Amino acid sequence: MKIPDHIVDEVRQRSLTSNPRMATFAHQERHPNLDEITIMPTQLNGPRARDFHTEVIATDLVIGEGRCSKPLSLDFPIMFGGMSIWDLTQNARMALIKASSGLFIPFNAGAGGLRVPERNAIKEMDAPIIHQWTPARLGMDADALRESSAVEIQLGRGMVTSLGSPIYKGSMDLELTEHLGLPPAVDGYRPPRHLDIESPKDLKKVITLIREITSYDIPIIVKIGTANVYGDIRYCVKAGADAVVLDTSEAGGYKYPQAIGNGIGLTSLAAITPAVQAFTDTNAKGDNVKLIISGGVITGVDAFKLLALGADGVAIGRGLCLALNSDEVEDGIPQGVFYGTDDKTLDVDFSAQNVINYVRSMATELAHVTAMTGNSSLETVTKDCLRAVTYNAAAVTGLKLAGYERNLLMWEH
Amino acid sequence: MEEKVSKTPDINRAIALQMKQSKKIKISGLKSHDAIAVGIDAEIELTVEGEAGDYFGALNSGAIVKLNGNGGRFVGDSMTGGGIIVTGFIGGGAGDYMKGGIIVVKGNVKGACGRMMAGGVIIVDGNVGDNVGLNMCGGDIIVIGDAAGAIGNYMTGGRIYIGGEHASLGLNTTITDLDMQDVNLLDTYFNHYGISSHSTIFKKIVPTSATPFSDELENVDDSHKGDRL
Repeated sequence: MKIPDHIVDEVRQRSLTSNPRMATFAHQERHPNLDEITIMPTQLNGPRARDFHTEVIATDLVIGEGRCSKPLSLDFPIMFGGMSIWDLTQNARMALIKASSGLFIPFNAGAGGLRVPERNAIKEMDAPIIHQWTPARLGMDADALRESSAVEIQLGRGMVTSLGSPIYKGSMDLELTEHLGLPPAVDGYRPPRHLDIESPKDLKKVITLIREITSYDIPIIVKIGTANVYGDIRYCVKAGADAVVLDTSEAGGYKYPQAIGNGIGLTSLAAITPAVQAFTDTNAKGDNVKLIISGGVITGVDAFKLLALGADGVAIGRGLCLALNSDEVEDGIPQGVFYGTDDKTLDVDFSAQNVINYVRSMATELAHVTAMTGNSSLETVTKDCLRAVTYNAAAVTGLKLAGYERNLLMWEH
Repeated sequence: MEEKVSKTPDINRAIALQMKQSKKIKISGLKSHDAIAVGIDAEIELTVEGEAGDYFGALNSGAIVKLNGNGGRFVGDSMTGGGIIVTGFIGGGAGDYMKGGIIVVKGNVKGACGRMMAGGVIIVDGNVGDNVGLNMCGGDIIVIGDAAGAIGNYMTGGRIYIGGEHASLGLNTTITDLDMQDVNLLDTYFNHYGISSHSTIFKKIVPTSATPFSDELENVDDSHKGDRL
């Protein structure tokens, strides 16, 4: 039997360099995934189907309602995932800022904050912005917190949850190094965890710190990877987060060690059930805390599946990157989007409009499917309108298995 | 103007209110409140009497804040400017993520300080715990007393001056002699902050390499260097 090429390449790379292969974009074929469940529209035996064209389908999402003085209101429950200042080119980030203004979805600055032109553009467009409070705190200061529409405390991320990494000398240009407050010609470091957060009590204190600086105005979001999903989410809710972003193994990924990224954590489909259970057990929904799932979402149908399973919203990243320059994709990587590549051909206005088109198509599709299931609001959608089409998907979600039309016995308790 | 408040948000609100009227503010009776005097960008002088909780003066960028008492953990966390002077002892994590400004502690620091520090100055007129200057890439840490283990572990920039004993050095650290610039720097700080020590007893700890992680890449095939960021 022939050994697959990717295994040969992996071993070759390691033997030549003592380093594993790196990859961009999370592995998209991990299981169980959203393709293993399907949406059941309504017909005779169920609520009547809604008419998307003539009826209002409510898809709005409010984060922080009743919890802070300036909650974040979105027309549809789709957010931009955070991508670091050293992940994307300047033009790519400017296009996302412009798109965020058009969609009124906050641009998530990711680790490293905002460059001066980005900050000016956001002020000029009055665009909403989310700043990330990361384990390295690069580009972070009180001004950044105060200009935010929400602050996201990043505890973990995607498929490289809890992975620390050096910032190699020369891997960023001098302007960016200076912006980040790093001395020139030295290596920097991104630690795997916040040095001041070792317990839920510590997380609560960080949330208090940020609330004090932002005058209790804006929502505080906590972003985690998929580790002990149930336990971690309980801690986040108890610590006072207004929303929890669960960044799953299908999310993120820019030059990450492929074997690690592919081998750890849970997919969105596998992670959402313990996440929702943690929300239920802490009465998080009753307290207006929101659950956002990030990972594996490309279409409005993907988003709907997660919302029906109990999420309040989704965050997207890979789709945004592809939409920025879908005309020029080589080996699955859109050109001029990722830091270190030539972004001169990436037209900011054109790319921004592409992102707006892409996200609007998702939102429209989301409303369409909501109507097809007989709901006039996402709030009334439940997992009853979903079926698992594989045994594994039924096992990890507790959904009825298609054909069998019942939950698996392990869920009958 | 005198105002009596008891909760953290009220205390910070009272400070903000008084900042509009005066450049010299005093508050007293602090009882381990967390996150007091945080994120102040105005060039004011704030004197605080009592015991502070965690994150005292965090993200300070302009104020000179004096704490007459003891403090909790993470004093001056992520600060970018201004100054914090503490007359008592404080918990660990002082000046973590610091990029500018100065922190002076007259007592001991019960733990690390200056981890991930990129700029600014920390002076401890007492002893410090483990992992002082962990992953620091800039700035100065001056410890008048003793330091526990793993000092300066994987530092890539900045300087750590120790007046007393240290249990062990961290990785990528080297002890060097003080030069005249160091002596002048230390003596200036000692005179300014009334610290009774003498620069001649100090040793300086610096990174062995400013680029220990990049050095590891030296053996990597050029075609793969771009894969690492």
